[in-house]
Amino acid sequence: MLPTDVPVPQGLPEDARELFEIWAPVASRWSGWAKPVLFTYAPPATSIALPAWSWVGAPPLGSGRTAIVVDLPGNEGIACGLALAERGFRPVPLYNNTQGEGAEVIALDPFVSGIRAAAATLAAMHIPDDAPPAFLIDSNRGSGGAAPGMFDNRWAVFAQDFPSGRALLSSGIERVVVMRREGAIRVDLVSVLRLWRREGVASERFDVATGAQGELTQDISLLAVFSGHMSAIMHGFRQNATGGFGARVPLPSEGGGGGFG
Amino acid sequence: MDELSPGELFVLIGSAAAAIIGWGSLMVRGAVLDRRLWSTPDGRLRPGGAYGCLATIFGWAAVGAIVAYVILYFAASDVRPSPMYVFLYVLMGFGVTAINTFALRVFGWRIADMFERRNNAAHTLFYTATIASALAFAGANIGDGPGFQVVLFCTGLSHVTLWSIAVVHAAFNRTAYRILVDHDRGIAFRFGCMLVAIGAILGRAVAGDWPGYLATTLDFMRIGWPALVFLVFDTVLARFTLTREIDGGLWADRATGVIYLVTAFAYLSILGMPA
Repeated sequence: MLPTDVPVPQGLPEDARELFEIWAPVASRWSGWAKPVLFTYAPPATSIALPAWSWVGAPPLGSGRTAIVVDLPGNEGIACGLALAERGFRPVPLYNNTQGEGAEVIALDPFVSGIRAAAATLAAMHIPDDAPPAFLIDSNRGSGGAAPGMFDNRWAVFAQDFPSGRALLSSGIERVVVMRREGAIRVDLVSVLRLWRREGVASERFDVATGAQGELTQDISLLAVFSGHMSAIMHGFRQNATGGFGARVPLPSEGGGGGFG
Repeated sequence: MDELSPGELFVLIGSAAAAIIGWGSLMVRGAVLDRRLWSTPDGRLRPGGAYGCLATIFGWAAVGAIVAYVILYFAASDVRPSPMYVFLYVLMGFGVTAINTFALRVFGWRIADMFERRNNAAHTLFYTATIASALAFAGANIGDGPGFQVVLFCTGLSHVTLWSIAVVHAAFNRTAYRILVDHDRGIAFRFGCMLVAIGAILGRAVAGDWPGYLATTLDFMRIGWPALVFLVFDTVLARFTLTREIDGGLWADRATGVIYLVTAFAYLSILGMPA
């Protein structure tokens, strides 16, 4: 960790380090997976409040042997993460897209604002260092279309963005619950669940709107794994040269564009 | 100054483009433009671009040293004294190793694994695979031949074999998952050393004066077959240790990796330089 007297680098919000420490404290075993991208942006001019959260039905939270993947749209995922923190989970933000010039395909302000709005409440909670994780991702991460001139910050998750099945099992996690609304789980997350299943970590789904729940089954054949692997390689989203996802879609007259990676 | 033929000029430009895109993306992502790496809220997760920059420079230096040494001392008699041809083939070396980084992406490796996810096992995989590629390319430059096209043929032969071995290993042993998701440093080192050993053997297998396409391919199989022994041995080893804990056999893996390198070196010493 950087010494505390190191000044916050130019261009970052003054409280960036403090905020990140609240969301990804050094002592938590899951902090290594938290993405710092959102914390590098200044708060939007108009603060966007977090939606109120209430549970419908009984979420299958287990007793310390269950990890959660919160796959909800916008800052609803952050609100759900906060509610899970009250139940003893460590929310781990995995949002991995950036802001840039042009209209954003996925508006980032609600996330930047939400992370800040939830920080004070999160800081007041005393979440154990070995609390099970609740990984926060945006269910709209790959949705929408990007026209020329727009900032295409759609993104995908990869197996590398999460702890491996072996790492989960060695921490006592035997099961993963995906919390989301109706609709099919995106293929990128299905690939992650499949690889976990191959390592012996089961998964189930909980619909936060209806309270419905059920086992998730994945094809764990070599062919299915290979297919998931190839779709992860050819995700088609624009990676940012400075990390994360997001790049301006060039106008036809400009050609090229995008980042490396 | 020697004049380059249109074909050589094409190779020069292609190599330069591949080197700039492949190595340049690493440099950009690792250091120069990565403000986020420099200016992270928490240095614990982002060590600073300087490390990425140094790591990339180390990779460049390793490739440059291996390829330049072989070309200056063992390349065709008309290449060695010509600065233009030495430049062309060294640049080809950077281009081929850059293309090798794209092949690594098919393996599942991403630049983000090294710099954003700070996966030391991914670093090990990248640098060993790069050295393996440099060795496989360097061997293709040894001996006299009719031109750059035979260097390309030999490079293709050694690299397609190298990549195929990596893919087979990954398919049987979940190698990519163990390195990139489990962050298992021991497996990364052992597998990486196996790639370096195989790269050196395949490089030697394509070395020598050019006897024709068929004769080169037959020579390649005659000399390069021990590469398959490494694959089979390491696959058996990996299958036995498939269920162990992450980094569970770190020192055993490191020792095994060193044994791979020593064994390959011994084999190459016995073979000696091509006639």
